[in-house]
Amino acid sequence: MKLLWEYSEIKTLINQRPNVKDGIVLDTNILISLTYDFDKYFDSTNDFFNNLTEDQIPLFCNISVKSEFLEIQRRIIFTEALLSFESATKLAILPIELAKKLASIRSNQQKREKDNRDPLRLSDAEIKAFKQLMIKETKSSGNLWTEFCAELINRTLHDVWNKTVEQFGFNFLSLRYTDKNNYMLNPPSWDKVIDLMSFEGLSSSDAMILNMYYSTKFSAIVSNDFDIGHSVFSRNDSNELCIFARRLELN
Amino acid sequence: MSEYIQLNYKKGAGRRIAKIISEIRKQPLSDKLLKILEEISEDEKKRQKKVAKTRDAEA
Repeated sequence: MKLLWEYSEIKTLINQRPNVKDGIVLDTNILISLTYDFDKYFDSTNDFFNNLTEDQIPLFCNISVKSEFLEIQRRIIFTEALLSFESATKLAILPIELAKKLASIRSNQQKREKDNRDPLRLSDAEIKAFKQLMIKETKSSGNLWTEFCAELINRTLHDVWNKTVEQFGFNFLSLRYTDKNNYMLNPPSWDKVIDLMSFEGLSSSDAMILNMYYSTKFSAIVSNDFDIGHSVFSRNDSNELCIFARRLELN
Repeated sequence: MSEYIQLNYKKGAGRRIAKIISEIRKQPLSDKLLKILEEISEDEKKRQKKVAKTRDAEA
């Protein structure tokens, strides 16, 4: 039984495994690919989901997806805002350390673009480093970091999440009595999450998402993460399958 | 499957959300932020002058 499928094979998949139409579980990286136009799978993922609307397939995720999605979007939004701030500011007027840091993220971003790599996404530690430099700048007209957040970030993260929920029509899987009866084969357990982290080296968020998927009655998970595909492939359970943007090379 | 299941993925939803993020790229700086930058610039000039003066005095 084929366990790994590509976006382009969705029609064949539905013909061969009609129960896929009962629902699909989403991994966080798919939501990022769908909603961030610099992501390399942005176009293909949008086309894939637009095609899914014809088959009326319900989409499922859980609270781990929400938490991871918000964190990745926070990093994307702050990176975009800092780059926007850099291009609108004369670096020479800024304290030297801050100017250097802004110039360095700009050149990093340009190099990535030139080399056709994934766009720059600052880490939590890098965002903190900017915060430490900018929060020191308190003047009579205000604080640089506070004003930067209020002006350039503001409610963007709220808007992205609210719109995502409203426009995607997610179904959130939980351990409520009705969910347990309708969608779950067995309750997800922390033991299994820790097993996935220990024996497959998965991150805690990936392990929680995957463990939720393995506990449901749904046969398909959509992901662009090698780890998720590898785990589904290794379990070799004919009731489970993973849909990817591209052909996944596991060897 | 339960009857309360949602099926309303709206065509083009991903692109509409991406637009919210891409707006940041075009956002001009507000007057308040520009004022703070102006003050930072003045303080920075003063600081650099002071450093140069001290260096000259030492020389």
